[in-house]
Order: sequence, then C-alpha cells, then structure tokens
Amino acid sequence: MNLSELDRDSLAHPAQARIIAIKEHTQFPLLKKRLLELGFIEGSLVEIVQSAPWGGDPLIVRIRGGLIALRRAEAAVIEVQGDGIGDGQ
Amino acid sequence: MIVLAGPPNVGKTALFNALTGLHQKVANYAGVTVSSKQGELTLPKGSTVKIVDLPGVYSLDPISPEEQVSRDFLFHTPTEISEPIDLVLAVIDTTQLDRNLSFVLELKKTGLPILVVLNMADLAERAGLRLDLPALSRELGLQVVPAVAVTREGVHAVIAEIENWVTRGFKRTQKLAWTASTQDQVRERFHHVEAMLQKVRRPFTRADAFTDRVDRIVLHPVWGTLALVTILVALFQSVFNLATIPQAWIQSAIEWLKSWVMGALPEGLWRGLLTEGVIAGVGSVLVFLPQIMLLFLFILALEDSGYMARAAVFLDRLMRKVGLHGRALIPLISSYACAVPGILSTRTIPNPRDRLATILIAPLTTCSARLPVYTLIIAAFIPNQPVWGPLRLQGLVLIGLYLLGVGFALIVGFTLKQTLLKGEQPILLLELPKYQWPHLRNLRMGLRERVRAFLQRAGTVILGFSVLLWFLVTFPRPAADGGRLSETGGLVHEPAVPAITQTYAGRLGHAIEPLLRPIGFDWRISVSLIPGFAAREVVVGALATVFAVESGGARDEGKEPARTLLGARMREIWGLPTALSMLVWYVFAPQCVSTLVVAKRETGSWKWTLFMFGYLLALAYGMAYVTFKLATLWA
Repeated sequence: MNLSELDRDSLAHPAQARIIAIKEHTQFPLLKKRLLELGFIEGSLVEIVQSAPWGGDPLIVRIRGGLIALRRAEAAVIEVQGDGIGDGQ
Repeated sequence: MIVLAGPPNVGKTALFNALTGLHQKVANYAGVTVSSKQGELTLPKGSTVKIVDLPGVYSLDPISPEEQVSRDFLFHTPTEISEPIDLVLAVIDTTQLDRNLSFVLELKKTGLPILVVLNMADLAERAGLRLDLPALSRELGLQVVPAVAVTREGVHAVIAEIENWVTRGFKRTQKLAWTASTQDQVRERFHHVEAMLQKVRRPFTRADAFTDRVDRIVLHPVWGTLALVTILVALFQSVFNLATIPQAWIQSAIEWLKSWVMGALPEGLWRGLLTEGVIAGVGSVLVFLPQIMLLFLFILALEDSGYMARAAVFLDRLMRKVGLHGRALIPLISSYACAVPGILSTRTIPNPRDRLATILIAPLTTCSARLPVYTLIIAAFIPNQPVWGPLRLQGLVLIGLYLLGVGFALIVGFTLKQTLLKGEQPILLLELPKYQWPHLRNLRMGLRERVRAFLQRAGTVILGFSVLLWFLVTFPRPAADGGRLSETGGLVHEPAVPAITQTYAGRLGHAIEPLLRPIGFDWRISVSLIPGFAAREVVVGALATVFAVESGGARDEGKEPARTLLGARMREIWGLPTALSMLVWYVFAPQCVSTLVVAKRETGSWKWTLFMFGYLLALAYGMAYVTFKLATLWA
C-alpha cells in the first residue's frame, strides 16, 4: 500500500502508518532524495492529517513533527504499512 | 563575513533584520527570501562584521534556483564573493529539531565553522519542549545558542556569541569540500538525529492542536471557500469604503496647498507648472495612498499568519487542472502587491518550464499600481449603489476586474502548458508553517517599506512625468485669442480649435489616436498612456495634468475636490464604453517597464520577454475592443 491509498477514515485516529520504502518517481528523479531530506525515512511514522477539498488532493501529512503538503501522485512513491498505530518513533 | 543558512521558514531573515537593523521582507511561508542579502552588524565592543542572509534550503543539494543561490554562495562558485566565510550561523526552528538538525549535520560535514542558532526558542518552550543545551552541543560537536529573532531582546545571546568568535579570531579548520550526500547518508543523518534527540530532549507532546483545528476549517470545502471569499470581499469593500476618510484628509491637504500656491504666486507659467503639473499630477496619485496601504496590510497579514501555504493547498486542484506547479500560486498571490517580487519568487519552482509559465502569467494578476487607475475610473463612472447587504456596486466591479485577470492567467497558463511549454504534470511538495497571529512589528515594518517605495515613486517618476507632460500640454503656447487664458470664471470659452490640441502633447495624442480610436480612447488617454509605461499609476497623474491644463485648472479651485473634479471632467468627455474599455485595457496591458526588465533577467531570454509583452498587448487591445463595441451597442 502506498501513502496515497491510505484512507484517513479507514484507520483508527490518528491515521498513522509506517514508511517501508520510497520508490523512484518516474518523471522527477530528484523527488526521492528530497523526500528523504524532508524526513520521509524508512521506518518513520507518517500521519495523514488532512486532505484538500474536492477529491482529497493534495494530502497534508505530519512527518517528524512537521506538516508537508504533497499531491497524491507524489505520495504514491511512499510505500507504507498501516500497522504502525501507537508505536513510538 | 558571517553567513546565515538554514531550512526555509525558520526565521533567518528575521534574525538578519534583528542583527543588521535592516528591513528585509519576512513572512510565514517557505521561500520568502530568494536571493542573498547583505548587511552589517556592529558589535557591542565597536567592531563591525558583514552579515549575509541566504534563501532557505532543506539540503545543500539544490532542486530549485533559489536553493542553488545558497549552495553556490557557501561554496564560492561565483567569483563575486571575495571575502572568505568566517562563520556560518546555522539557523533552525527549535520546534522542528527532528527535521532541521539533519541540515546542521550536513553542513557540519563541509568543514565550515558553525554556530547553531536555535530560533523560535519561545515557541518551543510554550509547546512544552525541555532541552538539555550543553548535551545537545556536546552531541553535535558544535556551539549552540537559543534565540527569539522576532524580538530584539531575543538576539542578545547570539550577538554575544558572535563577539566571542570575533575576539577569539576566526580560523578555518580545514579546506571546504562538498559532495552531494548519497541517499544512505541522508538516512544515516536522520537516524543520528533520532538517537541524539533521545538523549537531550525530554519527551513532549508536540502536535499543534490549534494549527490542526484551523486547517480543518480553512481546508473544508464549504468553510474554506467561505473563508477565502470573505477575505477577498472584505478586502475590496474596505478599499472603497474604509479608505475614503483618510483620502478626504489627503485631498483637503492638497487643496489647501493648491490654494496657498494660487495666493502666493501671480498668474503665469510658474503657477501653472506648480498647480496643474506638480500638484494636480502628484496629488492625484497620492490620494490613493490609503487604498494601497489597506491592500498591503491585508496581503502582509495573510503572509504573516501562515495562510498563504494553505491557499496554495486549497487551490491546488485548480493549479493541477491548469498544469501549473503547485508552488506557482504563491508567486501569483505575491503579484497582487507587485509583479516584480512575484516573478522573483518563482525561483522556488524547480522545473524551468513550469517556472517560465508562471513568470509569463504573473503580470495578469492585478498589481497594486493598477488600483489607482481602477478606482479613479470606477469612482467616476460606476454608481455606488448597494447591491446586497454590505455589498456595493463599485466594490463588486473591482472584484470583477481582479477575477478577469485571474481567469485569463489560468487560461493563458493552460494554453502555454498545452502548447509551447508542454511537459509532464509538475509536483507539489510544500511545507505548511504553524499559524501565528501576525506580528505587529512585521506589519508595521512591511507597510513602512511599501509606503516609502510608493512615496519615492510619487516624488521621482510621477513628479518627473507630470512636469514633463505639463510642458507638453502647455507648449507651444497658443496665440492669445482669449480662449483658455481668459479670466471669466465659470465655463471656459472654447475657441473653434481648442488651444491644447495645438500643443506638443495634443499633436502627439492626435497622432496616436487613430490607433486607439477603435477601443474608444481619445487623444487625452493616448498621450497619457505613454508615460504610463514607466509605471501604471503614472497614467492617473498624467490624465490629471492634461485635464487640469485643459480646463485652466485654477478656475475650479475651492469648489470641488480635485479627484471628484477629475472624475467629473472625465464623465463630461468620455462615455461609459470608453471607461469600461480603459478598465479592461489595464487588466491586460503590459504597461510596466520594471516587470519587463525583471522578466528578462529571470528568464534570461529576450524572446520570452517579447512574447510576454506581445501577448499582453494583443490581449489588452482585443479585449478592450470587444468591451468598447459591446458597451456601445448596449448603451
């Protein structure tokens, strides 16, 4: 499952998941490194805080205490596992 | 030389301003600073050091032009930096240590001498953060100092540390080496930060409940739309209704000055130059100062609160449909103040093609210089009748003009992305700042800078062109046939051929008029448009001078305020179709040299600059033509 498929409402609150991998973005090769630099590291918890109106795109996620907005197309490169609820970082 | 470096939106520029006493723009979103800024700090013991502020970066590996600026500056790629870097202040947000410390670790690897500044220490403390500073310093192997850059008291510790460094003498430890980190190194840094923070920080709850709650409102389909519309309507209504009181004060001051000059000087050329050229020209523009201040106050408050980044998220769907980069909205909103900083801030857009598309459409967002033109014409031609509740027709027409600009910005952007600038769907990756109440100090400082720039322009460009235009509408002087020089009081006795048409400006205007007649412009507008290329609001001063000279200015003194008089004269001579056509012309016309110059600099291409000029001119003419024809039919 990737981050863009993680439906906020299907999960217990807070809607958290653990990052298991960052894939390459086909059109924008720099994206993977930038995501890592923003703190999207394998093993980190990521929380979906909010999504934009009309179609829920972009997503707003919390990573390492910061809020980042990203389009679902970008979120799709972040592979997550929805079992991270309640774990500390 | 001391350099400020750090991630975006951590308060580097606020610290820079506090250290140097300068007034660089600060706001609450990532990417406010897009070029390096220099200043000087005078230390308590009297010596001075040069301070440089850099655009924020997430890492030293740039993905956009403004990040490139910082990397190049730190590693001396451009040759214009002659002085060595003695110290880097690595500025970070104390509430964001988990992400920001990774940057400090990357910077440390380069061997640059570093002092870590933990900014926003007050916010961190309020959020319940307890930090063992000596332990953090030990873990990092770097000196650490807390700071609150938005208040002057908050930077004492930083200045004291800098003083210590200067006293000890700067020394470079090793030669600078920088290579892009590998992905594994980035991962390692974050793991390092995690381990470090476990030792130096007591666990605390950091979720910002207030920010989350506000976001649930402003990003809600219904409440969010309502919030956005309310902000816009309040802005435009207040521009017309709140500004009228201070405008009346300025108006009476100008009137007083005018009658004083009338009394002090005998009738003649000098008096004409002062009253019809200088006072009518500059005064007619100065009257709009309160409106422009209100507009800026709204924009500054929005920028400082943290709402800008949310607006980008809220309207991202629109941007995506058009094919623009997610960040494009922020430069476009900045362009409401002025397209020049708007175009500069496109440096935060990584892809050159997406950046170019944003630069090309930036002049379609209505800048503040158009406000005097719009309000002058609207006030003269549109009745201010109530439409619904507090909404009045004049404010609605103004909103309509802004929306027309927005609509065409989207249409042109979409067309460009489908044709000349075709490319893949751009990305959005935007950090959202915490909400904060706008700092009064920031608002005051920002407003003062804007007012200063406006007054400076009134005193130079507008004054210069008003005087020049006065000469052009006055000379060559007509034969004394008793026309405009008569002292009969009320209406001017018009000779068969009005004297003004024989002056240089009259002839020039009449020469251009055939070109502009299809869009309803007479020779007066035609001749005023020429100085209007220097800056849009100059056209208001130019029209005021033309009308003042034509009506013999002096005679109407004391009866009516000059602006209403100018409006009344315009109403006498032009019909509604001409007025509407002129409004539409100004939505599109590329009448601003500064915008073209900055577009050339930022695109590095004459071809694209000329393209921008050409398409805007074509749109202006075409749309004004359609408006004029439709309005003539309808009238």
